[in-house]
Amino acid sequence: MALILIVEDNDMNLDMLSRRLKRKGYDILAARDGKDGVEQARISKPDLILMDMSLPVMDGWEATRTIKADPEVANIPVVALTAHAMASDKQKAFDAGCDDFYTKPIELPGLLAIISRLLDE
Amino acid sequence: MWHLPCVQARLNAIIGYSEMLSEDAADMGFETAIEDLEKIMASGRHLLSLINDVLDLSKIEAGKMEIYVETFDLKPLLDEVTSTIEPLIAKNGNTLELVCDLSSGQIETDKTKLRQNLFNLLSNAAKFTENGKIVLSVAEVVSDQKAAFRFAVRDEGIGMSPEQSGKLFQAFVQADQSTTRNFGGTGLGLAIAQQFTRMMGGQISVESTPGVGSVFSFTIPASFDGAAGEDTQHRADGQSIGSVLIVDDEEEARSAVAAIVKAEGYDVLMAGNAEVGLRMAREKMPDAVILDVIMPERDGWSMLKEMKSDPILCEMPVILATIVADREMGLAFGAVEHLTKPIDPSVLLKTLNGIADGLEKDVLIVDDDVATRNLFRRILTREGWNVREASDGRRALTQLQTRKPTLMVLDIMMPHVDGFDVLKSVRATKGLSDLPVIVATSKDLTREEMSWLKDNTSEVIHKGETGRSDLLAALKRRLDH
Repeated sequence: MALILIVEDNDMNLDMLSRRLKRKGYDILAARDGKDGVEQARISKPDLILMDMSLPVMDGWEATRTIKADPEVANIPVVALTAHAMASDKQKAFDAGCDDFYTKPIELPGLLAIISRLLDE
Repeated sequence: MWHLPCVQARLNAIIGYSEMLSEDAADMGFETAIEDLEKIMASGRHLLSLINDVLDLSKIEAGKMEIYVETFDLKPLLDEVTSTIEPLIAKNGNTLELVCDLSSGQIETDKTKLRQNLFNLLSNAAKFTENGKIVLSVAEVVSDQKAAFRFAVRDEGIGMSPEQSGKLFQAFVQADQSTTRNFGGTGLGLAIAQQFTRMMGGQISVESTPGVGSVFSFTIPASFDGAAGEDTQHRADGQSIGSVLIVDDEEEARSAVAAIVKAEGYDVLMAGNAEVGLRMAREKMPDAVILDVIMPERDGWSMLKEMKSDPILCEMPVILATIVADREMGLAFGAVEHLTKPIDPSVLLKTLNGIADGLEKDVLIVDDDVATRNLFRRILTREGWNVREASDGRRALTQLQTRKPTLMVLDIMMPHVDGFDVLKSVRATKGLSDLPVIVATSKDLTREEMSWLKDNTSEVIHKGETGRSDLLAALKRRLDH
């Protein structure tokens, strides 16, 4: 089963998202800040990354840019998770190299559809 | 102001965990628990959408709402919207029909805003209709000589009277206060839809008959016009050069005049008859009225006469537009100008700009309390002032940088940058240091604060126990200087 890295600093969001995805059969890995996220991506080479954008230490935009600039991990799809959709956030997410974009609150079916599309399931 | 993103995060947790619990409950067969959990979810979602709407509106108000233009096919978007909205439509026993016969479905605009507009109008229609049919129709049209798309949502709901529909696009207003209780909704959806439509370079309107239903429609250009967007941004900053009310029974004539004045940078209000026109004039206090003389039921003369005998409206400049050349009579009745149809744009604009230049009494009201701002605005517009508003100190400073008003009415207790800081900054800024300021506060001032204010302001008045007459007296004293 596919391995998903969730980069999220909010405990409750991380807890909800990881439990729900585990129920759907995914293996989950978590990172609490952008820097940790980049490291985990390099070490574990997950199949997909769900990236919150407002993160401590290194924010999601920066972390995504770092991942996409590293040939070792650049091919891993990154889905940006942001609060209330803003046109500029969407543009920013794509500029940073995100492969898709999802707005919180996370409604599982929508996010699952994006995940399976990116994983080619 | 509380920190909205924090509220959003908490609500996300409420929604998410109750969703998870209801999945658990379904697995374990706890039917009653599912129902209750769904109520928590629904309330959470409602609150979240309210907060998102408030956030959107404040962003629009601050001129910070951005537009993200892309080219895409309409059909997949329409399919996505209709399938997402389907459960909501079905909830009240309604059916949804999509009528869309397009030769080219390609559009260049802000997809997110278009989607949100469609959701807004469709969910409104679903809310107000029971066991009826809702039709979403999309058509290729020509607007302002450019290819455009018209999106219309027809419902079989409770409908509205003209006076109700006139107020519809204002924030927090539903046609009837009781509708909020009966039908839910944040009351902000249509205000946002209108702003979004403007940002996309289009117009939104409503036709409605009580008991029969309503048609909400908006038309946006097929290719995005950057200039139009900037113009809107400009206007969202409160920098509109004025607002004009057009009263004409013929829709074509209305839109022709609207196109002319809009292109010049005015905000446009439209009314299809004298009654609606008078009501809009009272509510919106436009800077000028363009009035058709020949209208069924009540003609332009009659409306002009009522305006001139009304203490609130008598000062409002009226331009008469008619096919009858009777200039003398128009001016005798108190119109500022009399134009013959078809209207010559250059003559119309010359007249309007002349009126706009006369708006020298330009005041900036700075207060974080919207009710106070409304009160001051009403008082001051009645006195012929051109009013701008800022909801906190920081916004006030930005507005002052763009244009120096004749006068500022300033509250003291505000979040972020308070009135003292605004004053300090104003007094230290070249070009603004001589700006007359009236402080209107409900704060109990210390002796030190009071003496500092006396040195730095024209007048200090107390809100609440005083009010209209004190503010006017302070203004008059100020102007006599």
